[in-house]
Amino acid sequence: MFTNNILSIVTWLPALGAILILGLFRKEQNDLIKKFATGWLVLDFVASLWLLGYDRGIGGMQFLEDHQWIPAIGARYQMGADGVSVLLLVLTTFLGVLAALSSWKYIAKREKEYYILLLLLQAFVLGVFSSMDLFLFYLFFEVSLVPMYFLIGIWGGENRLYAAIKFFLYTLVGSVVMLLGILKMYFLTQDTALAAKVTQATLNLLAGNAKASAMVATTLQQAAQNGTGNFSILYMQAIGSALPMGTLQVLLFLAFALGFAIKVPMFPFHTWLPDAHVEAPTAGSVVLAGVLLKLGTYGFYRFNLPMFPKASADESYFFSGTNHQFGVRSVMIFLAIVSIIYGALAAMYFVVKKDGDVKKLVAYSSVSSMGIVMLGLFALNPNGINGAVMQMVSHGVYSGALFLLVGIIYERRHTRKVSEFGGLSHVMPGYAAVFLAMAMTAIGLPMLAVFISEFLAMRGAFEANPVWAGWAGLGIILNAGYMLWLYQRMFFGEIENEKNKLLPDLSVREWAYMLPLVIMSLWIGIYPGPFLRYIEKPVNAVVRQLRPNYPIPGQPASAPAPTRAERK
Amino acid sequence: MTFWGKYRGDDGKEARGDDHTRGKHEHHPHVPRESPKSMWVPLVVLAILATVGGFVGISTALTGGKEVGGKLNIVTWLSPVIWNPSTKAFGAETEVAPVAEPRRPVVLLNVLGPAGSGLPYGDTGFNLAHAVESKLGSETATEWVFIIISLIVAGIGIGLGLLFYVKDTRWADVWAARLAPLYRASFNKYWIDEFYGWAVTRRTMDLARGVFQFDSKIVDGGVNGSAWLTRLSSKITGGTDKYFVDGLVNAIANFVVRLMSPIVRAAQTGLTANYALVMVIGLLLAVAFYLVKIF
Repeated sequence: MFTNNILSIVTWLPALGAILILGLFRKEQNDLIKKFATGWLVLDFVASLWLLGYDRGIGGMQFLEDHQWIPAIGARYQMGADGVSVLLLVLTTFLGVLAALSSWKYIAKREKEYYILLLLLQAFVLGVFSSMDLFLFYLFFEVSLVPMYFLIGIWGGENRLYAAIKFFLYTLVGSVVMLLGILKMYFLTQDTALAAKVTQATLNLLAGNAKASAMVATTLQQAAQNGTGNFSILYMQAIGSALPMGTLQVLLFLAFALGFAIKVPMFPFHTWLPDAHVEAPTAGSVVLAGVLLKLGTYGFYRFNLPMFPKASADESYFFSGTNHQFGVRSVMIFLAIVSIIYGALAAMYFVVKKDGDVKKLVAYSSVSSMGIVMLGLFALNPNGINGAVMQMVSHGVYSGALFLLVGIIYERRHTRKVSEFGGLSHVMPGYAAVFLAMAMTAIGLPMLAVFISEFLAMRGAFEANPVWAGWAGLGIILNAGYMLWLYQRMFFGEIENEKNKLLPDLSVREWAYMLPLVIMSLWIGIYPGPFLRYIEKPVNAVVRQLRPNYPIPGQPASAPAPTRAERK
Repeated sequence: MTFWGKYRGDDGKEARGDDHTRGKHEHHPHVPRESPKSMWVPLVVLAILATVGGFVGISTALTGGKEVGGKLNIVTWLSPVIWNPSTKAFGAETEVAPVAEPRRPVVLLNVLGPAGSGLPYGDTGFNLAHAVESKLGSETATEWVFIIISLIVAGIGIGLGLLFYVKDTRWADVWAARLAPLYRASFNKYWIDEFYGWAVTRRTMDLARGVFQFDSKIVDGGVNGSAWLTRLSSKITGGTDKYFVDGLVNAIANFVVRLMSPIVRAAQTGLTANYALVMVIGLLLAVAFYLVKIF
């Protein structure tokens, strides 16, 4: 019972907690509510640890659940997770606990509603990562906007309504375009000519193991009985890859890409992010940066790459001259590189400027970091995609930590302006040490999490095209520049502002939610092996799907790798 | 280490060339202090390493051609990553059989191999040691050449130090004055920091400002602009709806009311008898209609 439904349990447990809070507690029982909510999220985290039992030797989709849901349209309640989902699910439950713990003091009004929404947000995001049915996926993807909208709109800063509406509308625009793509994909599943082209080998590759293949077969059988199409993500991946390269494939790619690119966010769709982050309460920022942004990159990993492999690898669709050519992948790579450098420069503005906002700096640095993820994904090789997935996890750790740290200082000073601080290391040595560890993680210092992911992503990018890696390297230098400047301005020198002289150092509760993040950063930085083993097989399968001839280490390739000259 | 030079600490007297009369002073001079632990401990570690560090690579010229130390020898250690142009492979010549092939002309800094060669580095790259070795024709002689060159350079440095700081301490000032521009340049580290500050740091900051302006004005401006456009079009639609579409509906309604109201008002007499009469007429008409229908 427990093992067969673990994904449902992990997903719905927070929602159950929300209902319990709604029913069990009165409005005034604030203390009890926050302890209950935090404890409940710990329970969910512990439950999610069960997912680490993912069989890395088998790979593919595991922890499968399959139930009839809406037979009229062929939508099913299908849950499943591959190694990538497992890491992101555990990251989500992990950050959820820390987010709740960080809200105890920060949130001072309507606490009951706050914790209910936080729990619901967790439930919906977890649902996104564990859906194997596109209809179910879209449902979770959309509904996760609602709690976030209220978290920003009610407990946010001064300009919260503007930020909340912008966040909601902007992401909605993208996902509605994606909905059109989903509908087209649904009708394609009923296209018999296309279905004839789908081979069992492709399906097995995408499913990864026999059980998942069997689930797809059941889905198809049931859909055929009811005379409907289906929303099976695995089957849609197979259908999409059977689609010939052309306008339809490119349009579908772009429809999905727009929805996810706004969520990531990639330049030029990123401007909702700084506003949402600055206005959101600390826990909102943590979940937003740590988890919600990954919905976008996860979408690219789960849908765009395996579903539209031809468009993903295309470099000549839009323009194909004798010396230059330009295709879908070129656009993605270009936007990724622009995001990396542009995000870093925009972040730097907030240390260059006199009264820059630290939170905005961290927000823009997220744009830069997520650019690395996109670059790694579209390097289309195992190293690049491994790096991208690891970067999702490391970014979740370090950006979450930085937002928590900004929240800690904001609780004490009620300002986030860099110019208000200086010399903090004298009064808050513990805080300074944790901040240093996290700033160094963000820079990508060896032995810390981001180093591993950036190294892998850049190695992948270099393999694809050294110039791309060069541009990414420039962005990383800029990242180091503003992070070091920020640290210098906030922590070094003498204390000049009287208000900073008596600031208390980290409390026990604050240590309790900062230390796990520092440990995670070190763990990933020193020994990323266990994490990489979770994603190895799924990532290799995606690469195999994208480039059937790519020589993956340990697997026979049917043809030699294209050399640099050939690719041009 | 011993420092023989002139005491440069600011004791308030030295600068004016007075005799050393420290101790009689009333104000406290800057007495040199021991550095904090955080400074001297790393220095001690570095000093120890510097003293023994040379042993990681004892020249083969001194050992009769043998590389002593095995894996600890830096040459053996680095061998797998050093590109050997003569064998066109990574590693020392001893590991791969040397390829007899005439050397090509020396080209400076050919980083990537010639197109199509498939080699990471060209076989034409300049390698000083190999160039000297091919001239002298002996590995031992090559080693000696470099040993002697470095000893001479070190000797010159030590000699100059002795001259300036031991033999006659005035020499430093004299030469600083004679080579004033060079001295100033050297004193200011050739203004490299200033150059970087101006050319790299300042320009990057400008770029950051520019990017943010672009972001908030153009990119976000576009987003807010589209929101504004949506609101504008909704206003236009709303206005059209209110004044045109709904206006038309109201106008028709008004027209109908105006047209019909005299008739309808005339009927609204308020007398029950009138209503009853109308009812009876209606009833009769209905019955008549029914009868007509039947026949």
